[in-house]
Amino acid sequence: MKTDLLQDAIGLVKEEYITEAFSKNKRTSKTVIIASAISLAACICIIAVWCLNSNKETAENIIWSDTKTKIEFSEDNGLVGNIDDNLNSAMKNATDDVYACVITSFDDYKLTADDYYRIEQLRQKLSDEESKLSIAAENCANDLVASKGISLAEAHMRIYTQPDFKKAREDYINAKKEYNYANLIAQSDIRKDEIEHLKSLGFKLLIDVSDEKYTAYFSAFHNVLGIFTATKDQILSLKDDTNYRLYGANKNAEKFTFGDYFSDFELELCEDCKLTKKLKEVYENNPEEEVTVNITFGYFGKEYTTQEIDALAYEAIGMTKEEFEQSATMEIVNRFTEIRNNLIWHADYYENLARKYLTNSEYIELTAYSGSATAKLTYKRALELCNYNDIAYISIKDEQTVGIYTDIKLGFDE
Amino acid sequence: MKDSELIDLYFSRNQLAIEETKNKYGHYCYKIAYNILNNNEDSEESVNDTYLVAWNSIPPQSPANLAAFLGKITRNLSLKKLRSMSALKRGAKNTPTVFHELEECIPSNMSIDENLEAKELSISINKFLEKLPDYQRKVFICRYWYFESTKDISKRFSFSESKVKMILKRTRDKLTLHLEKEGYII
Repeated sequence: MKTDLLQDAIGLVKEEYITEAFSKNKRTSKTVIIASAISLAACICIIAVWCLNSNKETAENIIWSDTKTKIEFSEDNGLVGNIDDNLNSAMKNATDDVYACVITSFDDYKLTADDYYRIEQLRQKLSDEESKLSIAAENCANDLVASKGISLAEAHMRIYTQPDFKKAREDYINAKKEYNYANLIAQSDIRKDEIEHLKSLGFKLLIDVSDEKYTAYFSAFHNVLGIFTATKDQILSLKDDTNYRLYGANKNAEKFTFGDYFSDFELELCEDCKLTKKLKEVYENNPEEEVTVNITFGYFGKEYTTQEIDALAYEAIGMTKEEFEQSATMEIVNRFTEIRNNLIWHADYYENLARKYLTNSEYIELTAYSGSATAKLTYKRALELCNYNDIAYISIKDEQTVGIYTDIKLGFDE
Repeated sequence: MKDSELIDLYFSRNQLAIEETKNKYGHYCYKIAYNILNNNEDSEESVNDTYLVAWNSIPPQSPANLAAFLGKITRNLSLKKLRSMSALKRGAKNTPTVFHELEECIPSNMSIDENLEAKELSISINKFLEKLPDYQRKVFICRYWYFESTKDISKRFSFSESKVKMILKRTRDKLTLHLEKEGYII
């Protein structure tokens, strides 16, 4: 089988990748991203506001044909050739003929030894700042829990305002800028060539990402060339050129929201209540309507050690550890894992809270591993729930997305 | 018991080493084996063989990362066992899908250079993984190293299953391009 070699090669990847993948992931229990989970090299994501509405459509494997070029598009997991789903949808729906897109290249950039050494040092510095940010986040959260008696989940949401965290975040962003900028400059020659090539095809450079003010948002390791404007025909001319990836929107989008996964906490709470700012805005525009929300509960219960969890799980399946290891069937192993997960996630605890605070008509479902429940609430009810200490915060369902995105208004001068 | 203490037991040829390895890493290795083999007996055999290989390898080896060291052995032994079976149908229900997905990385009109060694290819894959955002790398490893189901991965990372599938698809596409550019797919 031709994949045997590939499987064997994957089996030999660096050990740190093997252990990091299986280590406990903070996101699973907190529904927030702590800066320690920041990735250095991130795909550039461009989300035009209206594109959020088109995501549902694109997930359904639509096949469409461009009326002008007659090219047929069949979508597979959001990618059409090398054009991402947002740009694809923009071209499908919009009447405009001018689009903006970020273009990334797959060209290899060879670094000189000096550049490599310098960038490696900056990478190390960035990594140190990341650790400091992570520690500051945890310390600030713990201080808040101790001083205000709030849950850790709420503390994580309120951490933006904490001086230590703000300082650590600032240092991290500066280190990130330095690192990205060093990469971009080291690759400037080949980048220039690529940009000139695109210009020769009619693409117009709208934002040069090597401009220092943008370098916090782009990772050079993903070879972002810039934001360009182009016509539909020009974009389609690159459709099958695998050297590029295109992400974008039409000009009616007015603005792009883009950024990479250099994220902190994804949700921001109002200062006067436990609603996220976005949810409050939704409610203020529709005060009488029920909104589907995500309620994250605080946890004030017992923290179990791994040994205690194992002991409880063995007890629940009625076997000793030795019996389990010697004679457990797969059914028992699965049952054991389920019980163990429920203990780790405090599933019963959160289920009780959901039952206590939500009526049957409000309740939709419980997501135990993130300690949250989905429900339909009116503004009045949401504000009422904010008064309970057991409620950490309330957000719009699916409000959290990966990464922090920064708006850039596009100036179309055509 | 700390890993360093465990390794000391191996070095002093104390058979408690195997017992303690079983206590600490038995479930971990079993999960890897079961993800690939989907059979209790075969998985247990793989895990027991893992202890034996570890016993024979330490010393002279002194693994810095014992979990990864043991996991690698279990994975290799389980894959070897699976390949020796007459058909993939005896593997986990998940395994043929994983194989099929990896096959997609090599276009049907192309193949991997047969003179190539896995070690050489893994250097290139490491380069590729290094450039990936953390979460993509983790999802990729969970799927193609640990052979986890997309459902399990989605739980592990709190992603929807469709998001996991999309991440995997995009990462495979990138890997194909990377391997083509590096000249490994011909």
